[in-house]
Amino acid sequence: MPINNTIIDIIQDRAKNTPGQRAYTFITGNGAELNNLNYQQLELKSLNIATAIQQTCLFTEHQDASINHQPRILLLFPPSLDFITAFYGCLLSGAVAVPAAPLDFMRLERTLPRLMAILENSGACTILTTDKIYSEINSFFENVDKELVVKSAAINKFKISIAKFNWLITDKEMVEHSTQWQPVSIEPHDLAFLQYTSGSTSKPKGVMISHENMMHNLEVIHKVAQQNQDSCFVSWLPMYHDMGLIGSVLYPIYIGFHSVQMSAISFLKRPIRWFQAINKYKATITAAPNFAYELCINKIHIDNSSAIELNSLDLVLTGAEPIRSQVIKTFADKFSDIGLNPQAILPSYGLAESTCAVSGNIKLTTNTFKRLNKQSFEQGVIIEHNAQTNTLPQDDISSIELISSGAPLPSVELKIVNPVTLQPSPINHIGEVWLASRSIAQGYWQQPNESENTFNQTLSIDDKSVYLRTGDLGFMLDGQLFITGRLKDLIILNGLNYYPQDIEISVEQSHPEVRSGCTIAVSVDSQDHTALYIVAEVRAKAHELSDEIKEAIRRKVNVDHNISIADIFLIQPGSINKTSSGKLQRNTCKQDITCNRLKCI
Amino acid sequence: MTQSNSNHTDNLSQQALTTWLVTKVKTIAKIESTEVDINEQFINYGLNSVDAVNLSGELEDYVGYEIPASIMYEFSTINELAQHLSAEGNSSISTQGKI
Repeated sequence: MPINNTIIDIIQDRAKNTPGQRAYTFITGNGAELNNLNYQQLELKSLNIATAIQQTCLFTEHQDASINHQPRILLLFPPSLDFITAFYGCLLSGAVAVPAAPLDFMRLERTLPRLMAILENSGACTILTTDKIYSEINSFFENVDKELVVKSAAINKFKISIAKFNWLITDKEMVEHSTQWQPVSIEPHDLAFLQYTSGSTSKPKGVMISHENMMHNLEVIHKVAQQNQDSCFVSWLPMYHDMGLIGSVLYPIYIGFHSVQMSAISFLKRPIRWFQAINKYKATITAAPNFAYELCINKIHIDNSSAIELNSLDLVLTGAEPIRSQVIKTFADKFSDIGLNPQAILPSYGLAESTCAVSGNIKLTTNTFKRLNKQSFEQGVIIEHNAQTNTLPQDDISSIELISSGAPLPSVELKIVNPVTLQPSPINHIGEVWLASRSIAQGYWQQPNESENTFNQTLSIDDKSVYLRTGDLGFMLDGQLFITGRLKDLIILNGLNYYPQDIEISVEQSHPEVRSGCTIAVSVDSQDHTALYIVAEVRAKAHELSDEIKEAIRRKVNVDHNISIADIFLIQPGSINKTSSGKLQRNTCKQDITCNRLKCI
Repeated sequence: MTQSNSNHTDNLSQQALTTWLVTKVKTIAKIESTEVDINEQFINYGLNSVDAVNLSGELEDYVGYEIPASIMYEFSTINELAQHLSAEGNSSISTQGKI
């Protein structure tokens, strides 16, 4: 049976009932409005794109209901409102949108292999893009260094396939043919889009988000976010990621309020532009990952002439990467002078496999931060530390402080599960986070084994439910979820649990020559035991101190955690394994250790 | 919140740009100025992509014209970048893309 309230119905309702109301605005780096779309313009542009898709793509009849019949359409856009109309155009046509990161021509060798892998896995043969990107691609390949094409398989493959794709340029004058649009009937499990997760470049995983998943997640987000038609979202989040797409693009139209978008580059170049936009549009809601709050702390300097107020905000979401309690406290404290309400900060947890949001309904209170007994924490047991948080010294080693990710959103079933026995963990124990709800995606596109292992798991005591295994570890305390780390990164030594982050902090503090944020702790299993390895970047001229540094690391890790290290690798600045966004890659580092690939100083 | 000192009427010398970049790199890498090698790749000082884009913004404020966010990938050492920017300044104001 078709579902009766889809995002398609919502777009059409808004265009009918409030045609002249502003839906989306895009602002440039200096804050000027580049373009605006009201609901009527949004519907018209999206319908024109939908019609163009319907007239050029193959929509085959589905005799076998188990096979997805919807064409996949790749969206290749710079941060712009063109992305939004193209996304809605796909949905209105009945196709599946496949949002992709914009191509970076400066680093094509790095960005193109991933795009090629997404094109191959999704089987998309139509690409929606802008006139500018299309001509950039063509002129790049006209003038490209022939050697580069020969050298890079992905560039070569892309060059050959350019002519084979059906390119639709959506920002050129599109033929006005929205009247030829064929209305589509949406079944609950029909897909809306594929959200490709970072995964490995060679095998990206496309999370299949159905229309029902999307509507359910929006519904539960609203139960917590409680915005209304007068609200305003200011966002610089990439729209091809779940937090930007669901939170800042779809949630505003779901409720019917204004969304103001700017590019991530604008924010990264001048973080204050985010605050200026919040101030100008009297934004009520915004969202960002932890690193952005840290960047604001370091780069935004308040003085009396700034005239920026953040008091319009009633929701400042933090999510999408591990939340550090110190960053949140400092951010709340530093910007309360310009009207930021600390109560507005909302730590949350979510993942693309559950569409976007999972938990996060408790605003920042003293209860959000919990101090725990460290010794029992290492055994995977949660005991609250007796002493008052503020009476403890900063470097107290008998306890640790964690920040909550809020309570599970309404109708989200969350279980903490022992990842080995697959039994629910006893109360106050750390385990893997398992989820069941209507937001859980349909699987990974064209990857049956990975889908089965992640999306289709049951407890060893059968409770008739099917769960998503998140791969994240955590526990519940006072009804709130606390995330402690990734299951695959956990270091288990002599039956005790250690999180690499905690050991890495000790390593950083052990000697002044060790660079902060550039150390990795991993464990490597052999037949009879598990060994702990440390990789640490040290300052450029530290090689003559290498023995002294190693000794300091061993001593500090032993004092803090009572464990010994099998071997330490000291490496050059900038050589630790990190992703392009600066996240440590412990798994690749582990492979480098086992394959003896590390270059020590 | 400080506005840029973007009112340079004269072009910045390569020397001034080098000194400015050395100060930035030493802050990010948490090392002494004397330890910064102007012919070393930025990436070897631990600059990640967030640092690189943020630095391109600060550089815009310093030189007073628009600079692509990917400049530090195009010119990957202090020496190369300072050389490029001082030549760029001489050959008129560059406007590559919107800030």
